[in-house]
Amino acid sequence: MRCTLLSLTPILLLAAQPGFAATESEGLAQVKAFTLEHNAALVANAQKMQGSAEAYAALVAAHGGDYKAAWEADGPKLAEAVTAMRDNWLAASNEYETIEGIVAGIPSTAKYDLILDAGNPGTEEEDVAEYDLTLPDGTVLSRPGSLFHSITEPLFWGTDATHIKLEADLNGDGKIGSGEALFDANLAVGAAKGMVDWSKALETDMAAWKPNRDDAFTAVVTMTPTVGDYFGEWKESQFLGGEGDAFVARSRLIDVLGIMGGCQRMYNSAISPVVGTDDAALDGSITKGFDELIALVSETHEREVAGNKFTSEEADALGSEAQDIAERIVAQVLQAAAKHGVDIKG
Amino acid sequence: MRFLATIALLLAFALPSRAETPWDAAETLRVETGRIERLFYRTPNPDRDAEIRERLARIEAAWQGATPKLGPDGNAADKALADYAAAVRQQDAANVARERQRVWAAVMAAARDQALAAVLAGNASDAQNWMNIRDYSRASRDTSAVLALKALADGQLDQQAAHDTVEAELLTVAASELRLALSRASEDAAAGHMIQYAGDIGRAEGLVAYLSSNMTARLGPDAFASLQRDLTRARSDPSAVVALSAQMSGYAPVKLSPEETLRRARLLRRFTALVWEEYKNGVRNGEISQHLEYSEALMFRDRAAMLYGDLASQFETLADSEHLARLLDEMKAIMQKRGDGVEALVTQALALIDATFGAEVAQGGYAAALDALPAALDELLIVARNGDWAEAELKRLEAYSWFDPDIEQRLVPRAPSMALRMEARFWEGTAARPGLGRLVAQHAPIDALSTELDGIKADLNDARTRIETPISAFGAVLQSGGIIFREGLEAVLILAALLAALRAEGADPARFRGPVGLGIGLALIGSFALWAAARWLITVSTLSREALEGGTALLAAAVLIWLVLGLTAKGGHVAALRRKLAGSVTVGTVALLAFLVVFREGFETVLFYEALLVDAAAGPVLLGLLLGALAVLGAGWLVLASGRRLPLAMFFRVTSVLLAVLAVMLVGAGIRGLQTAALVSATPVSWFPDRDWLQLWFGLFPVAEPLFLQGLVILLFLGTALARQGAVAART
Repeated sequence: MRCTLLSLTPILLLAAQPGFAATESEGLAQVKAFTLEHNAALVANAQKMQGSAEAYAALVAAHGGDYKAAWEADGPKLAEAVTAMRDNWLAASNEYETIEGIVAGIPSTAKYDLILDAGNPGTEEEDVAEYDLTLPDGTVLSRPGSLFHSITEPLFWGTDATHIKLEADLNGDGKIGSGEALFDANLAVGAAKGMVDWSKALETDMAAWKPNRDDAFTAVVTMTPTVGDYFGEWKESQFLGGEGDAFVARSRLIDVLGIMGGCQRMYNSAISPVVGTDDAALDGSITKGFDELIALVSETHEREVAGNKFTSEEADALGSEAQDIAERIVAQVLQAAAKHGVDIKG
Repeated sequence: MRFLATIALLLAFALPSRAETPWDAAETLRVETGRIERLFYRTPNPDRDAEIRERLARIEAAWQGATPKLGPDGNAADKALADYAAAVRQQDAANVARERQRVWAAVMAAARDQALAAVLAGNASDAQNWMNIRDYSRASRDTSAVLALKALADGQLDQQAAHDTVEAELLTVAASELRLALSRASEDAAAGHMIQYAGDIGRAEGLVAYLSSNMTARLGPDAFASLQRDLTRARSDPSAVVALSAQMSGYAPVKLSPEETLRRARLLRRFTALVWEEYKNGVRNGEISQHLEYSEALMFRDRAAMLYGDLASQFETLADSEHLARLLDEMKAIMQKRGDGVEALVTQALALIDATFGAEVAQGGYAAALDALPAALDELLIVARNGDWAEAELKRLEAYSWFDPDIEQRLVPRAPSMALRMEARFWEGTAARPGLGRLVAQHAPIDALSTELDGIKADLNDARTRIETPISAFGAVLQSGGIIFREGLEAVLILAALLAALRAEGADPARFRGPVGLGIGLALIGSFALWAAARWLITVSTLSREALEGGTALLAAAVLIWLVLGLTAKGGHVAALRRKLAGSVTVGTVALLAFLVVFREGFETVLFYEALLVDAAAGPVLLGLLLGALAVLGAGWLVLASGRRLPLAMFFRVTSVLLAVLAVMLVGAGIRGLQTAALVSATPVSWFPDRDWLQLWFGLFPVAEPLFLQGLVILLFLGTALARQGAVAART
């Protein structure tokens, strides 16, 4: 199932290839509608994740919270519940990544990106996910980090040792591999519910967002340069021999595709109608830049899925190239912003 | 919709002016050469080779007919493209990487010449099209060229000025990219990434060709020839990159204006400081703990290095310049090994930057404040939108701390009323237009908050214009005189009226002259001491300064009210008054009052003069100070002299009323100070006139709290006067 989703993801993302809008207001409206559509799907998948987590917790609770007893009595059902949670996670994450570039780039919704996907648990001065998570047993986790990557991903994939309750042969191959474990049901339910609540809160604020030119430019200028950072994480991730806890569920390149796809959508829909009015060459160059950036990431991901190996130099060269393209795009968007008197926020 | 856009693009391309500009062919060249380079990293196979051939054919097809449009430099671009195609056909990955960069630089050089020619011909549209075949600034985010072209098109800038601006940006970007290429070359050679190394050297070669005329002129023919020799050597010997970087350390393609130098120096300082901020979060115990922070630390170091390149020639000595270059290199070397010692290098680098570019780079100054304040206001809006009003309040105070003192000090000498109005916008505003303080406290609708923020930004633009308008010598005299007259009149009037009243009542003036002089002297010493301490020893925050000023004013008001009440309580009865004077009006209280009324304004007055001296020569400022002081002393003399001409009773009443008015002013100024220190609430009222002159000269603000207290003081004085009249009537 995971392989199917992995191979489908780029196709889904490319199917969502952004179109050009005739006017700026039409394009801004398109961006908002697109974001709300995927936000709704994110909420639906988060709700499924909550359902799966509750089913998992019920199985454990039926044995008085004894994970060993629960595994011995209901092993297959527990394994099935874990698989369901992982699948729900991947589906929810796909939906979020598709709109992350837009959510994180709009000043009024940027905080949701930290809470859902990109924030840290106060280990750094900036980009802290500012929220508390209340678990079913009443425990309140203060600033626990992002729901996707700090909590649920390491939890569901068994890389967070502190919440592993029992190592177990989930896939039934006769041995316990890396990440095969039963984990804290209380945390799983609380985090899944948190995912539902915060996704809904994002939906409310996104619905209230009044699309405007400044936000559109700001989103592209802010989010596009992050491609280099994500490539760096990709190189450090387990896919290239790294040892990080996060990004174990799938390649960081999926995140890059989602974020850059969002930036490209914002540009093509909402900014291109502005830039193209008086500088077709600049507009054409930025458009090509985004196409090139997406192509670079897509091809790299396709090769990764196909099992191709990257040399250290090639991985480095790909990262540098992606960063160069992104910086060129940003510089060009800033040129257009200067010409049109656009106020880049922050 | 995409189809329509494509049609529109094709139509646009078909327009005569666009047909002359091969930007689309250049884009194809840039994109496809990148893709081909990436393909060469892959294991050779028939599919890969076929794709490479197909993409090369695409470039050649797009490029057909483009060369003549490039003008005289078209041949160089043509040759570079032929070299590139040959490298691709030979399947030499390193050579492909090198030639890719060389051909792009050749095309850029041709496009630059065409763009500059179009600018000189006054053809902004063509110039704009040519300007799309170029590299852009990564670090300084310069957009001056595009704005110059817009101004040229709008007839706001002449052709030569536009030409110079465009050329300066293009040359500066190229020099900056050249430094980056050399820096990358060192890294890639160290990592054994030799295909990338070849690309870096190719880029350096292309950019040196791009800059050749300028480099020859700026470095001299011999140095340029030496640089080219090292560049050739670097193809096969990476150690030559060190020599190349050293030769680049003294090179700047254009002389930056003082404003641009300051802007870049600030960015250099900011990026350098950020290196440690990010690195300390990104690396723990020799391991990457947060990759994002780690890569950002590397990125900020690279940005700092690029900006250093722009500023290298501005260092006082070559040794200083090379020192900073070395520090930046060492920083990178340590960071790549995830090692310790970055903080110390950053500290040294910051000290060197501060020593070279002055305290204004570190401390900010009005220009930094004007740049930073809109960002702080944007952040305020963002956190308010997120419903975090506590954070919004902090952002408001942060924004205000940019305004006061940096902007306010520069603005007050030129436009005191405007400074006053702007200050109010950060706080309670007016009854009709609530200020930021009220909007945030009331969790106002975002639209209202946004409107007020836009208004403040517009005011900031006006403030910038006012501050940056050059001051003539005569203007400096007027502004300087205005400061001392405005800030000193109140103190002089209070002391003169008090001394006159005392003399009129028979007290010996000589008895008070010394204490008054002592109080004034101590206040002046205290003001300068506080100014010096705030500059070199301690940090006096904006709010602390407001609180100090407000508190001192209220204390002075209390002493003055006490003295006025003492003087008038049994006024008219000379004998009783003399007894009273012997009791309450002591030399100590008079000296204290003298100290308070001068110290209250002293610190701020020193700051205003410090700000004025930034823009004006010392001579006119000193002359203005002397004339202003004479005018103030003249006003004081008038008060004292009138005591000799007016009948005693009338003079006593006049001075009593004058002192009472001044006490009311002090109360208003004191409460206002505490309000701007966020210690007392502020409630605007609509029924009181909102006039600049009332606020500046009489301390009467359309705000409920100061008006209420001022009303109480007036009632106190009136009540005392009525009681006195009643007592007199009863006796008669």
